[in-house]
Amino acid sequence: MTTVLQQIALFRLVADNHHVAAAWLDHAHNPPTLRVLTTAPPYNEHLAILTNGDILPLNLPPQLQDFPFHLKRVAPFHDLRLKLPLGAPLNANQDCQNEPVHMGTQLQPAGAGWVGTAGLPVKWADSAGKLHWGILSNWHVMCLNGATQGHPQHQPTDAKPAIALLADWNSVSSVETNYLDAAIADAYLDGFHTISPDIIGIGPFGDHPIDAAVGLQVTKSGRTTGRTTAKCSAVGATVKVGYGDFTAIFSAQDVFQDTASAFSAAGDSGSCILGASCLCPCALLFAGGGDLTIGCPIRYAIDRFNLVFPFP
Amino acid sequence: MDPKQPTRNTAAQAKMKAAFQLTKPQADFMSCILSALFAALPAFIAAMMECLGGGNTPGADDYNPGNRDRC
Repeated sequence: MTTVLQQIALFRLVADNHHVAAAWLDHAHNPPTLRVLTTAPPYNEHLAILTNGDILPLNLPPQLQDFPFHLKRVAPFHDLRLKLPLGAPLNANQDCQNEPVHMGTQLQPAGAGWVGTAGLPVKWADSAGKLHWGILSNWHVMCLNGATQGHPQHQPTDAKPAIALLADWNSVSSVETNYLDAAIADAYLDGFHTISPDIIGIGPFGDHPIDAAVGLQVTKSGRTTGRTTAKCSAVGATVKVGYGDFTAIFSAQDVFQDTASAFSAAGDSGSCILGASCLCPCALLFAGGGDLTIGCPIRYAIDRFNLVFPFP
Repeated sequence: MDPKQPTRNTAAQAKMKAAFQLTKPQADFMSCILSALFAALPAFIAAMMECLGGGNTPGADDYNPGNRDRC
């Protein structure tokens, strides 16, 4: 278990070193190993990277200096929304759907210059205890700058009627540590809920959430790559994610590695990552790079939005 | 009959009253228990409704999936 002080030290390691994309303590190894993903060639003998032929030691906080370490080179991580313009639909996740709309589908907030994925049908209790049924996706998918409650969310693009109205969100900070990139939208429009309990290519999902664990086989259904599978390669990771015009650092995140084809691509942001055997929600996909995908643990979204399971 | 002397009947009433009279700690305890029970009542009813398949917290909308043509 990574302590709070170690988490702070991991944040410093990622924040203070430009070429560090992610770091975590791997407790599956004895002794626990500090794993560091770098965007420059690693120099494992001295916890350093190579830049222009020079050896550049990484700035390592004291709380992490006693751990054996391992460096690996990766592509930088960035958010996985897809910027316009779009091509013709290539799969069922990109097609227009009549009601009730299955999740895993392409979503565009009104007037946004991008699309993402409506990840999971969710139910939540508001502050008065009243239940709502709607969509869970990412903050960076559903919210424009200066997001306002009630902003329409369209499927598959804003040329078609809205399927939900933005209800709440957890925005991402460029200066503080983040844990969750998520938003919810209420799907109750004109007396009906627009959404189905099913996910495209998956069907109904498990009735309870689970925590990811190293080695867990997972699946997801997203706008661009459809239904794909992966394996959890780390939990509790501190990750640096590029959002185009700013960079954010996330603590305690889940990392997933491709097992066959690419698990995710631009446009899959907002997909819900499910345990492959029980199809139970475990993380909310929001970033990736190379053969790795990053997900926020679903329990953060449950706590933030008072999500209630099972759906409906 | 001396009006100051309690009759047999009023003595029994006083005894009965004393038997049901709660001490202050007992009264506080009962008050606490009853408050907790009444506070938990809505959640209990909601949980019962959920178990019986009756749906949701009173006053909330039910999940009512639409069937409208959007495309």
